[in-house]
Amino acid sequence: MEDSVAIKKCKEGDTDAFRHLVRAYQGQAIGHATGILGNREDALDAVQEAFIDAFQALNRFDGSRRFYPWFYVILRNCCYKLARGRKRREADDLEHAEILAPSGSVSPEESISLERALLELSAEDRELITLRHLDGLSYEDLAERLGIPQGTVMSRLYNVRRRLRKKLAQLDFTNE
Amino acid sequence: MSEPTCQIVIMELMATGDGRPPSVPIEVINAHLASCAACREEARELEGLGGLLDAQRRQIPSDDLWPMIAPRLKSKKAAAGEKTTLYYFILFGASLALYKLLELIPERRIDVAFKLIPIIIAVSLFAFLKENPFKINPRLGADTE
Repeated sequence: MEDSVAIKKCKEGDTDAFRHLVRAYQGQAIGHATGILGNREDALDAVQEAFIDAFQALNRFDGSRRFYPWFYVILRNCCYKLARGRKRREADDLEHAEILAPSGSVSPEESISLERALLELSAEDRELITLRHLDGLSYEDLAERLGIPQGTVMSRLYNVRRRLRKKLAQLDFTNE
Repeated sequence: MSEPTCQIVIMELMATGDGRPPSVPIEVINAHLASCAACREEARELEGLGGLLDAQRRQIPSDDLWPMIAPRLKSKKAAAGEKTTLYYFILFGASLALYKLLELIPERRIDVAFKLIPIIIAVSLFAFLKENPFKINPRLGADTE
């Protein structure tokens, strides 16, 4: 089923049609929510809330746009709402990476160190840097997703990279 | 054009590396880098960090959330239906009250209308506070134990 067909059916009140959208985007959404919140458990809660909010707001969805960028705005609102009420995850408690997928370029230990450094950033900083590097979003896309001007994307990325480099240096991370 | 600061140079260099068109001519950036060892070092480190991050991928979990979402959607839909029914009842009640008020006007029984004012204020207050005046509070009994 195509997204547009599923959305049309959902607007007519067919909750089963929403299954198509949930199953198509849940993996991506959990990945993004984990990137913001820093842990999978909270991410699962935020994604569920976001899908329920999205279903209720579907009547306001412009069918000429793609579903996921619209849904992402709802998802990040749910994530930040949840983040305000939850205790921040301690980077030292990290036993396995939840944001980063296993990669051939770094060892599992280095991957954990990198994720620890990411966890020490603020949720906003982590969101920005993971969207840029893990999803490869352009400045234009980042500006649209985050609702900020491209110039702000540029200066924020510069500051986040410097902070991340500092955190990695504190963790004695060396990847040459 | 005035000489850009070290921060502008690094920011521009990063943005160009990210595929954004430069807003400062590349010759100006290169001239600054040639004369500033600190910027050369910072640019090298940040490029290395960028390369490291670009080589990573995001985890895409395989959790299926539909079994948790489906029952919540159904209960939300049912609750929305109940809410609509409640609105119809409120509308019906308000219409009856309005009819009664209109009926009183030709009889010039304005005194009865004045008696309704406190009731209207009380109902409006409960509606504004979204409180049900007939709700039984179970905590009242628990507090006395």
